[in-house]
Amino acid sequence: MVLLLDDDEAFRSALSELLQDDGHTVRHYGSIAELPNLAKLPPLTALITDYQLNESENGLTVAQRIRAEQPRVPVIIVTAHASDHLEKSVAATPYVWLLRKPVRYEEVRQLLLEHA
Amino acid sequence: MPSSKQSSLTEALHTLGLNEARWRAVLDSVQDAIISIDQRGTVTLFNRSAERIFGYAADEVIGRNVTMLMPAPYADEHDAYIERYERTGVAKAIGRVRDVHARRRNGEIFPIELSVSDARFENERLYTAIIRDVSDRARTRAHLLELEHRVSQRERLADIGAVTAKVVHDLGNPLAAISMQAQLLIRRLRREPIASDLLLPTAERVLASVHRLDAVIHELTSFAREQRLDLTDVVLPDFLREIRDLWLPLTTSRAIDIVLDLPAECPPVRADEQKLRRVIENLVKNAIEAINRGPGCVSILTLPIPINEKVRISVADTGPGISPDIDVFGLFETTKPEGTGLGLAIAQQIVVAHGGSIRYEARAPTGTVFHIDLPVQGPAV
Repeated sequence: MVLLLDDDEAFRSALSELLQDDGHTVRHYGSIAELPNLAKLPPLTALITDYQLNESENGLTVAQRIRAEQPRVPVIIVTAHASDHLEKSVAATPYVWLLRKPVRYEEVRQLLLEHA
Repeated sequence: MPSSKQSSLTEALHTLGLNEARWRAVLDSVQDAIISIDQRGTVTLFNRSAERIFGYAADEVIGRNVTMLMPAPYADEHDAYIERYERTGVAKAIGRVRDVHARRRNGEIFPIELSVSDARFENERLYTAIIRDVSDRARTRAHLLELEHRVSQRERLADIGAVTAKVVHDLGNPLAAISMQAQLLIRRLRREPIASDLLLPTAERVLASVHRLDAVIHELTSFAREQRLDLTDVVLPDFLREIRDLWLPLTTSRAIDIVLDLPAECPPVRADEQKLRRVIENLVKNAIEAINRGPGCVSILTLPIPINEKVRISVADTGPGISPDIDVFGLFETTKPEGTGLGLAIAQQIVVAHGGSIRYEARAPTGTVFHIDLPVQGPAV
């Protein structure tokens, strides 16, 4: 199952449908508050999350919390504003990829094919 | 054997000589120039600091009119000024310290602090000027002003960076949504042969437009980030000629002249050629758009400024000029329906990153000229 977290409904729903067309089961959420209890999540094939989430959390910190339960989940961070700092943080974390918005779906598909 | 009368005369002369030497030594030890004139303006005293400051030996000046040490308009007015003072007793210079200019032997005009006193000696009037060379101070003040200007430009560019980052972010998210929806649409349409002929090209055009918009956003992002410069020695005449040639077809079609005025002696400038090209092209484009249709003239000029190791590039037009209530370097400031308001803001950022400055002024009878001053050696590291 792919877990998709992004507050932009139009982006989230379109990406979710494309993933489903490619045979993935997808659950998508618009905010951290909507996420179910992480300990009770079914095994994930991937986490796709926006970087900018709210004041206290970002895509990387959510990824860390999910990795505490499921250590090897591949993570794709999507962002409209990639800073040097973010690029470095992502490069330093294994199995995390950064895609700049607007995202080409083909890139998501390839990453999932290779790593999920 | 000298008589006692003779001996007391010798002693008196000796004492007099000593006194003369003593006050001469005092005058010559003073840091300021001390210059005395009589009421005709003839120099009667010129101390050692005066020699140092003005570059004349005392005997080149003594006996001549003091106006040789003054630039216009002081020089022309001086005789009349003394005459008026002696007639009316109304003084402009005497008894106060004034900031005026003087002229050195080499022709250089420099700022001084001047105080003049007058003394009456029997029937003669004697005016004595104490002159302090303040050109160092003036230079320091000019330097400080320039630094202040540069700091304020940098601060504003930092603000622009912050605003741009916000805009990029706010545009990026909806654009990502449009893009993903279009990609979904394209995939779905490909599965429906009947609909696809009709609708697929439209959906693909939407996606292509999104990519174009994304390119703009990408440019804004690189603008928001710090400028990195790829410095080479740019030979300005060749460089500017290339730019002129590029715009020639357009200007010709609009009956606008585009002329270069490049002195033969112009040092190469250490600069990022691509970024500098962007700046000059932007100015030339603005100049052409200001004129719109000829007759009119766009001029591109260079002027070496050896004294502070800079070169000035100017782009002038004969258009209607810039309204005073527009901040042309402000982000998103534009008077053009198709303008982004980014051109001059980016130009300014690039020039400042080179350690230079950019400003503009109105031209007579009409038009605008932009001046870019660039350090020949490139930005200080």
